[in-house]
Amino acid sequence: MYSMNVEIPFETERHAKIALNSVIQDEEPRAGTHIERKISVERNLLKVSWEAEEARILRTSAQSLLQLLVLVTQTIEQFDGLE
Amino acid sequence: MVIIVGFEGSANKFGVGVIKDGEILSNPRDTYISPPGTGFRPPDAARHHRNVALRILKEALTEAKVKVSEIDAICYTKGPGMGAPLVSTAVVARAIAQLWKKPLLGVNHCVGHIEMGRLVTKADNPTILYVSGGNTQVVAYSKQCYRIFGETLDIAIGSCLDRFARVIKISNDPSPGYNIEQFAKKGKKFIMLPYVIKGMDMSFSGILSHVTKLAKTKMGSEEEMAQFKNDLCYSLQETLFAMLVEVTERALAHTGSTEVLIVGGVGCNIRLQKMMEAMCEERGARLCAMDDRYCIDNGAMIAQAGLCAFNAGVRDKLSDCSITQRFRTDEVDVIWRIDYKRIKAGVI
Repeated sequence: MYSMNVEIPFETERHAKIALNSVIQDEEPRAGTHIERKISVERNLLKVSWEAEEARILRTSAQSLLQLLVLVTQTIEQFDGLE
Repeated sequence: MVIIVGFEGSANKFGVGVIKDGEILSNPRDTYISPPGTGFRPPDAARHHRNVALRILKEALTEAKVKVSEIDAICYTKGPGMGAPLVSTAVVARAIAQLWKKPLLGVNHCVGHIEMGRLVTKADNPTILYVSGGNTQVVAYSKQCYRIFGETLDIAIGSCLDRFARVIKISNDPSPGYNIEQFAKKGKKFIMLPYVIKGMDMSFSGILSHVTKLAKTKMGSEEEMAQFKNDLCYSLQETLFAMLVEVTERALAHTGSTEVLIVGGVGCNIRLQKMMEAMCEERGARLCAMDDRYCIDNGAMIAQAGLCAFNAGVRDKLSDCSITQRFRTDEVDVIWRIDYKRIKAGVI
């Protein structure tokens, strides 16, 4: 079993929650192999943990989530407080 | 006054549209184009969407000249489509909805095409031919549902054309279908191809295998080969479009409607429009067709279908705003359209 834990600090708790609620809806379907992803927010920290049978599956899941989180961060930077 | 921002990104195009009560305020789009001889891979299209999303959103807002406070809701494509591009698009829409504290609505991509077609062409109750790279359906409205009368049994017609373009290595810019149409104009000889209609459904994969084999086994001088390419494009278009027109005609006879609406990327094809027009004329119907701005996937169509649902009181919880690769047209509760016949008859 492989596992990975990541903590991403956001400027505010609100931003961390926005990030959480932007990515939590889509669970990746994995036929045949076990993978579990948990996401939570603690103050301004977005915490993600993975557990998977195969390292390769863990890597793809982590990579795709991190890419999406970069996108969320850019969206927050450019569009928060826009009037 | 209701203002909706729509995000579309279910395949290789990313678009954001702003609609104000049925008026299109802006509708910028960016297309991911793969090199000749190759199709687009979903991860590449998703990366493209992530790279252009925020720029396109800014363009849409600037051109529409709307303030964030005036926007009523954000809409995005829930499905059907390719997973990775759908997710990348949905993530931006979800973040924006939260940042601006707006309701978020998931829209069926096919219903988006249909509502956009009805808006742009002013068709009231058309029989719809929806033809694109991922879908081929003949649809008509009945009792709060866009019912599918006929559809493809295997690949979409656009997929058949795109993949044939790959076989004969023609450019994907601006789109494979557009380039096939240009080659077809120079076609002189009609080559007999399989014609596959089963009841109201169509099949394209066998035709694709057949033309692929013809293209790969033909030998000749450079000049002969060039003309053969033109003839194949011409024959393929004639055969495929005849199938579409046949099924649409039968659906039209069944529904008794007086309008035919063509939507989806393949709907830009002028030859298809001409063939459909000839059929419509014979039946005393009106053809409603559009140009590439609205036929091809765009953000405004998602905003428009979202506007219809929003005005009818539909609201989604943020936690329900997922994406789904499979989402049939007839799964949507079309509560914004009324069944006039039943009201007149006093049934409801």
